[in-house]
Amino acid sequence: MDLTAESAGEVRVIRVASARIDAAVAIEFKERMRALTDGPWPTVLLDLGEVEFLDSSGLGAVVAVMKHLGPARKLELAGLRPLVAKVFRLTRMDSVFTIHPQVPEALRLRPAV
Amino acid sequence: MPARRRPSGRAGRRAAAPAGAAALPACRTLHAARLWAGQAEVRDALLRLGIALRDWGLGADQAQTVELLLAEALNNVSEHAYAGHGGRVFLHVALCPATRAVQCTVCDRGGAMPGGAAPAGAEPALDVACDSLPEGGFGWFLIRTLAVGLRYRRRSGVNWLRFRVENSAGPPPPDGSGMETLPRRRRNPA
Repeated sequence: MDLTAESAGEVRVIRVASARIDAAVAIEFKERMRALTDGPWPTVLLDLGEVEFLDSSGLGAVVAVMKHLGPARKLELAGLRPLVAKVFRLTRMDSVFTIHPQVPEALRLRPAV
Repeated sequence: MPARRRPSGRAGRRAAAPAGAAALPACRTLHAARLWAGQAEVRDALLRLGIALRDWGLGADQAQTVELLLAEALNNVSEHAYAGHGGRVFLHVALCPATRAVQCTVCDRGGAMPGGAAPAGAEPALDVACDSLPEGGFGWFLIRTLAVGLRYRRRSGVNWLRFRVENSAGPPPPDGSGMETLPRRRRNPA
């Protein structure tokens, strides 16, 4: 499970560099997210632009991450690919999360130098 | 043992066709596999399935839905039928030319479905407090929502689950003119 994180003011941007969030990595994903979001940022933006596959295990893991942040913090999603968007839409989880088509320009992760 | 499946190809039963229509070929196996019901093995099996479906030229939407629903079914076998202890699973995916639907079959020797029936897959309630949002229960909801013709049987200690994923373009026209749009294997199997 490959995650990279950067901070931009009050937003913690985390990019999932793996293609799948599924049963095989759900627990690892939750644990890594807990570590990467352990900080003051009121908003966490999860960039799913590279995630091609997300099943109900992956969906549950994203929900668990949001619940772990607590009511005072927000988890937002960006870059949902067709299958991932379909899973969120069918389960109506797209009404629970704020979903951006792409990571907002100001928050795009800078390429590693 | 579940009823022996009729072989596809020449020996297979030809799909019923309307009078005057071209005879359509029988259901064509796209992929079959035996795997161990562990998390890593299920993921590997789904990756191989995805490659096979792409080789056959299946449209992305239908192929992704097949992969998603088989992930749900296989995870269910792994976590519930085999209660996390592992066990063998047989997976079969076939194309039905008459409808362009993809038929999926999953067989295992794990525990029976509760009540002897596949779960109804009711939509988990989301109108709850944030900290009460469900983290599970979506798998069977997705299967029930995206699949048709779902059937479950258990005989002689074997669970048999079958469902179909339709093609959003619908069945080919009855005059057989849509045959050239059916998936064809793009390269020799490995």
